[in-house]
Amino acid sequence: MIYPAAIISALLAVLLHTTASPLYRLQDAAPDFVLLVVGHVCLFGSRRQAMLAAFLAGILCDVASLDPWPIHTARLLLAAHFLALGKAEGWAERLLPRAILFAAVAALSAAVHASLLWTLSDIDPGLASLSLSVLYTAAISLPGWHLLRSVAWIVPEPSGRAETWRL
Amino acid sequence: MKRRARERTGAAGALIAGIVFLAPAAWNTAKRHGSPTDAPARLEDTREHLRETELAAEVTRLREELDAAARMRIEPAGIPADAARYSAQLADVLPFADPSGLRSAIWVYLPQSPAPPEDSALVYQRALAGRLMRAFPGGIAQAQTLLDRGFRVRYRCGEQSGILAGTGRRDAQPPFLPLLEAIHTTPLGALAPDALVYTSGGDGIFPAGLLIGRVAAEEVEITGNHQMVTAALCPDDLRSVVVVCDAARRAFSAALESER
Repeated sequence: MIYPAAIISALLAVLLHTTASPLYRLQDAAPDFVLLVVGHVCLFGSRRQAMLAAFLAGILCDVASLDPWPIHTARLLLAAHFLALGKAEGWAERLLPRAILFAAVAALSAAVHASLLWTLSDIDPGLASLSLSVLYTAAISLPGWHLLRSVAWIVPEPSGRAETWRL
Repeated sequence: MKRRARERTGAAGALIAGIVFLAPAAWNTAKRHGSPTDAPARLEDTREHLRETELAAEVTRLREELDAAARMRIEPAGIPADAARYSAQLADVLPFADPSGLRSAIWVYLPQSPAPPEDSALVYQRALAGRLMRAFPGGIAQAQTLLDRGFRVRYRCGEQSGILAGTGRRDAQPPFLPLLEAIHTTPLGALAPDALVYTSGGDGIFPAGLLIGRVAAEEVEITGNHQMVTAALCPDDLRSVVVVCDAARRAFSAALESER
């Protein structure tokens, strides 16, 4: 079965990120909207949907970015994998564990991005902007989750899938 | 009761989320446009916008100047001596950014064909705005800005020359211009503060004589022993640019393609 929601989420995530992230840039850092959307697909949907969304969004980001291939595909797949592991362990069910999970995955994604960028193109990413990006992504992810959760409550849920959508 | 409590929680959550999401965008918009007390600065912005309408005339003038500069050099093989070495195309800047938070790029639309080759220079009012990295079908192209950490350009400042490297950082004061780091300066010695910095043309990518920026004052943070240069243009404010194509580079690209 094809997962249209995951595919549309990936496309929208890249579009949102390329248009909106300059507006949200503080100092040298910007929130990672793509990671945020992949995280939400993971929390609301299944692991396979999250991996599909991460793969598609990663490919699109790699095509559209100056970064060498395949930095974004690798970091988003890793992030989706660890978010799915955290969700399976029950870390997505309560506010504090969910916040810790998002922060840890944002830090992991930023670290993978920085190390691959350093290795493949010899560009120093700068520790300060990296830490700020991690904090920013982690801070914006929880309100984003609540926003999507309220929208998901308004939108009729698919029959028999209520427990999947209502975490 | 539970449903009503859930409605209230959902509405409060959505409200808080909306505030958190909108606050940075509102802050950045306010920072960019300034407060009412910044009226002179805004007036200057309006004048700047009006000057954009003169861009087409600027293209012709720029092409003549670049051709005059090119005549003083040895013409590359395969290009007739009387042919114009440089050509210029107007391009509109599209509202897209690089998906990577650690890079800085702008997207441009080139209505004319053929698309300029990679590594063409982006110029706005005789100042360097970036470097064309990739051209996609449909006249869309991606360009690296001076803010990008991977940006490199050979510069000349008086008798001194060297390489400027992008740092990904901006000046602390409005209009938050990009900062570049001066490396491999020869002859050794500090650059004079406030001196203008131009492209030297020695990298074979950018034409000589384009304005890059101004040597930053001493109080701007210096990393290591390197001096910083404040760029002349802010990539956020660009609405249209001139893409300067080097015919020698186009011939070289065509030769490479035919070899493949």
